[in-house]
Amino acid sequence: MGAEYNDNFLSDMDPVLGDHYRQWLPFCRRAVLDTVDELAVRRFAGPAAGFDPSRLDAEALNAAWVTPFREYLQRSGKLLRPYLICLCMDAYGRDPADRPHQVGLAEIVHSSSLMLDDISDDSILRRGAPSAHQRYGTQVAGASASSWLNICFEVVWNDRESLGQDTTTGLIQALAWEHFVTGLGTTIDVTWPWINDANHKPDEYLQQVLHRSTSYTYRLPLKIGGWVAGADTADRVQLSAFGERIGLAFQLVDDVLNIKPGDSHWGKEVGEDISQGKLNLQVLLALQRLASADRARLHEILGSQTHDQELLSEATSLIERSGALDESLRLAQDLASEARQCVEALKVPKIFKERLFALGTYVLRRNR
Amino acid sequence: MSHDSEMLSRARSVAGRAFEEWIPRRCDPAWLDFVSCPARFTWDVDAIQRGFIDPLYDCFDARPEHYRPSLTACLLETVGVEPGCHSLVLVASELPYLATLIVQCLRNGRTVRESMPEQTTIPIPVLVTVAYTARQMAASLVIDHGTSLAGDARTWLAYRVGHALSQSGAGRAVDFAGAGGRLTQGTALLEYMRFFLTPLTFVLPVDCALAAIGAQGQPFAQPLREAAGCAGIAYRIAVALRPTTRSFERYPVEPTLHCLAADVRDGEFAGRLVSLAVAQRRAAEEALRAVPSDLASGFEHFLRHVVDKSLQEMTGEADGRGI
Repeated sequence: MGAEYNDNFLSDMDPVLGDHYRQWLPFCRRAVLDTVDELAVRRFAGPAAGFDPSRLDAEALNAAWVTPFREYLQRSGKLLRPYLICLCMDAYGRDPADRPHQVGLAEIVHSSSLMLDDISDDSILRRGAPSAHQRYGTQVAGASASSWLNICFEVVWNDRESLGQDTTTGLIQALAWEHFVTGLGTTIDVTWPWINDANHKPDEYLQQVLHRSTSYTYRLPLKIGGWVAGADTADRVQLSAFGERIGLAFQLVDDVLNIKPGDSHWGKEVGEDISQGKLNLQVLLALQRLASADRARLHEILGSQTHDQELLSEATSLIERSGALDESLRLAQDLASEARQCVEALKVPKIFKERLFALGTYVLRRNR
Repeated sequence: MSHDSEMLSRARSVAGRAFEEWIPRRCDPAWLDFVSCPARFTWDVDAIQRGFIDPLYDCFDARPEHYRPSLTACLLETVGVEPGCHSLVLVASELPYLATLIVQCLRNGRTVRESMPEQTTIPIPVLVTVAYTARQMAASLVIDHGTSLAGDARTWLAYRVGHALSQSGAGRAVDFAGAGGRLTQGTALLEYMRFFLTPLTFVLPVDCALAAIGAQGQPFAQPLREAAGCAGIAYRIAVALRPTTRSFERYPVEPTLHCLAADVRDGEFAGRLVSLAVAQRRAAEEALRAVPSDLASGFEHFLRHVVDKSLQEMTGEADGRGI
């Protein structure tokens, strides 16, 4: 599996973080791919599980279950989640190389969730290639993703002797809870366009994001990292809180960049969220603040599913004029400050606090 | 339902109550705070009601058999444990099954539009999210709220839920990918069913009972699980071969097995399947010999009233074991 990962994004980070990230990136790649290989070939489907693939049809299993998932892993990605686990372990004096399965599982969860998200959003492409359901069908992609998402319990359970009982339970609890609350957050996200009611509250959007975008990207990897690093309870709570806050800040900044990208490298269509009629924080704030004629106009553009640049600019201008963008960024800044306080409380060497600060800064200040 | 015993009726009734106890029909912020964590901002309760609770109950009410939690309840009752005291494990054994039913109507299309079934008014993104949330809720409930279980049993059962979901997902992927023709040859079908279908049929309900009585590490746990696997294969074949198709039902009693659907009209193949189902039914009884008599009697009761009933419906004969 010769996946090539693009590390250009590291140049956007403070070197205190970027250099450390670069140092662990090759290990992260290996840990993810080796863990998947092991699960696919030896542990899950091997004789140890009481199953002889030759008596079924290894080719069928490979084609329907392994290949759709592996293709996602082989496409370029930042491997942020495995790196966060390495960062935590290094911060507490543990060697990430001792825990390749746990490093790998954060990316397994992430890639599985991308396959499921792509079905939900009916995305045609993922990282430049056809999405899994485009290539293999909705049922095959969905079932394969669900299988990989839940294989993570197996990854933890199989290592229970070396992890110890508390860490095993803590990790299974973290996985179970994050998997479930992601469902609640996504329910709100996918139900809003269906019930077609724009009278939602900004706080409802934030609660939705708290259980959707922040979960697999930051909170879960930092929880896993805290457990396998041997952090004490107080530090694990702070790591989780840090992840939650920067995850939320990330989404708010992402929403703003979607209509006002900071540079020409923004990888999506400008104003895509408006085209899709998304009711995010800035839109809900604008709808609360605008005078009735402007509010009606914004509703109209949001409901038109337009890709017309003039209309998208008009909507952006209405949102901006209402002060909603500034308010969103202010909240993101507040969250970043809270995240900083979480890091201050950690019992780790200063250099690791600086790395986590740099991560917060990267999330908040990025242009793309 | 006329074949139901009193025990099975009681089991079904306690399973229904358990579900409503843990997942109320009317969602409110306090319940959401309880099952996840206190809201930092504000829950959109209406969205959760319409996008999760209502579709979940639509499926739950449409399939009142509740075989899986009933099996768990029967096993508990026969060892003198009040099933109502372990209501949460009953819910854990039902949720993944409901999740599978909810999405089984989707076609394996290359786009959402191509995958949309005719009989649903719920958009696919909502439908797949209902199934996702129901699936993943089981492990979370067990490990976060399973106070009736010992600590190690909670962790073990949460892992077993994840294991069953992982096996089942891999199996569904293979089935939908059109590997049917290959699966129906030689030993492949039995291996497929044993490895991928049985976990979410009757093995997980047995695991739920084992966790509730703290017996997951006992020597008899494996034979009991083996019996559940064999019974599950017999039952799933019987359901797949039932002569009457109930096309008016919104949700089938079990998800369709595409690997069987293609060949089932072939008389010789159907005959092999019947033999396989009967052999698995016998194998289940054999496996129970290594299980303590009280637990074994609970399982035998379930075999007689659920599995044999399905075998009888399959063959139209009076005694499913005597084919």
